[in-house]
Amino acid sequence: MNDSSRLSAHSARRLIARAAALSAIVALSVTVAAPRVQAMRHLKLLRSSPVADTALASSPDAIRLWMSEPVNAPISKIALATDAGAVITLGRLTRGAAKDAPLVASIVAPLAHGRYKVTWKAMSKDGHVVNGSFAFRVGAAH
Amino acid sequence: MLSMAVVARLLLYLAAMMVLGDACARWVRGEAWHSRPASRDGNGPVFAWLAALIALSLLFVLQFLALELAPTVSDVAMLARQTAWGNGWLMLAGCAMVGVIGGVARAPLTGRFLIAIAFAIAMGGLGHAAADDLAPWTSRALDATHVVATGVWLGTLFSLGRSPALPVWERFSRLAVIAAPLSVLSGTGSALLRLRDASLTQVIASDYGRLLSAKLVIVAVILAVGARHRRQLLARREPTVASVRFELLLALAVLGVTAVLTATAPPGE
Repeated sequence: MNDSSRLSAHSARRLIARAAALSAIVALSVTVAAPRVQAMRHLKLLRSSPVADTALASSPDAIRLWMSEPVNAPISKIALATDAGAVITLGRLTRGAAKDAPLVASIVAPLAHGRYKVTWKAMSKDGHVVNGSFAFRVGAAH
Repeated sequence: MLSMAVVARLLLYLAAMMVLGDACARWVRGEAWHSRPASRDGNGPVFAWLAALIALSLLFVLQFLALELAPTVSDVAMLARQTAWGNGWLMLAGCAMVGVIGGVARAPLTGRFLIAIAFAIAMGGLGHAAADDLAPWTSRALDATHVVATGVWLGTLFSLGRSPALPVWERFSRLAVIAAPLSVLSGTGSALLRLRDASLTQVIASDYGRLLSAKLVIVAVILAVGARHRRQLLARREPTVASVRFELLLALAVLGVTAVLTATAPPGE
C-alpha cells in the first residue's frame, strides 16, 4: 500500500469512527431523554360500560367505550348481539368533545334478560384499525 | 390485507426514495438549482410520482375496507378530511399530484427538490409518529429526517446510474457521509421512542423487535459496503457496478422490512 492509499484508508477510518461516535452520542441522548417522553401506543380499549363479563340487574341505556386516544365516532363501529347472534339495534355512535370522552351507542329498546356480545372497531391516529369484543349479561344467570 | 398494505407501503417508500434521489443526483452531477431537466432525461420522476399516487390510492382503499365504511361520497370525505390519518393521506396525495405536474412541466431543480422534501416530511403522517400525542414534533421530526436522509443517501445512489464519473462519485460520497449517519441516527431515535416502555425480553420476543433487528443487521452491512466504497473513492478508484448493485439490493430489502415494520405494533403495550 502506498502513502496515498494509506492516507485515504486512514481518512475513511477516521470518518467512520466519527460517524459512529456521533451516532452513539445521539442514541444515548435520546435514551436519556426518553423517560420524559411517554412512548406512543396503539389504540386500545381502556374500559367499558357495561364492564366486560359482568351481570347487570337491568338493561343498560347505552354501550360506552373509553379508548386510549380520542377516536372519530363517525368511522368507528359498535355492534351488539344476543348470544344466539341476533343483532340489537343501537342508536347513532357519538363521542363528546372532551379528550377522554367515551364512544357512546345508545340502546334503543331495553334489553331482555340474557347474555350479549359487544364488538367494536376504531382507527388510531396512525391508521391502525383496531377491533375487539366483550360480553355481559342482563339478569341473573340460569 | 396486510400483504397488500405492505406492497403499497413499499411502493410508496420506493417512490419517495426515487423522487428525492433524482433531485439530489441532478445536484450531485452539477446541475444548477434553476436548471430545467432536458427532455432527453426521460420521465423517471413523473413515473415515481405516479407510483406514489397508485400506492396512496391502494392504501386508501384498504383503509376504507378495513373500516367497513359505506362506498359513498360522504364516507370517503369523512375518512379523508375528519381523521388524522386522512389528513396525512391528503397531504401526501397533494404533494404527489404537484410532483406529477412539476415533472410533466419540467420544473426547475429547486422546485423538484422542495416538493420531494415536502413529500418526505408528510410521510410521517401515515406512520407510528402520527399516534404520538405527547412528543408529536419530536416523533415527526425524527421520521421526516429519517426519510429525507435515507432518500438523499440511497435514493441518490440509485439515481446516479450505472457508471458516473469519478468527480460525481466523490461529490456523492461527501453527501452520503452526512446523510447516512443522519439516517441511522434518526431511525435509532424513532425506534428508541417506540420501544421505551418495552423490556429487552419483550423486544426480542416480539415481531416488531425481530423485524427491527433484521433491519439493523442489513443497515450495518450497507454501511460496511458504503464505507468500502468511500475508501476506494479516497484512493481515487470508482466502486464496481456489482458492488453498487449489491448495496442497492440491500437497500431494497431494508425498505421491504420497513414496510412490514410500520404495519406492526411495537411491544410493551
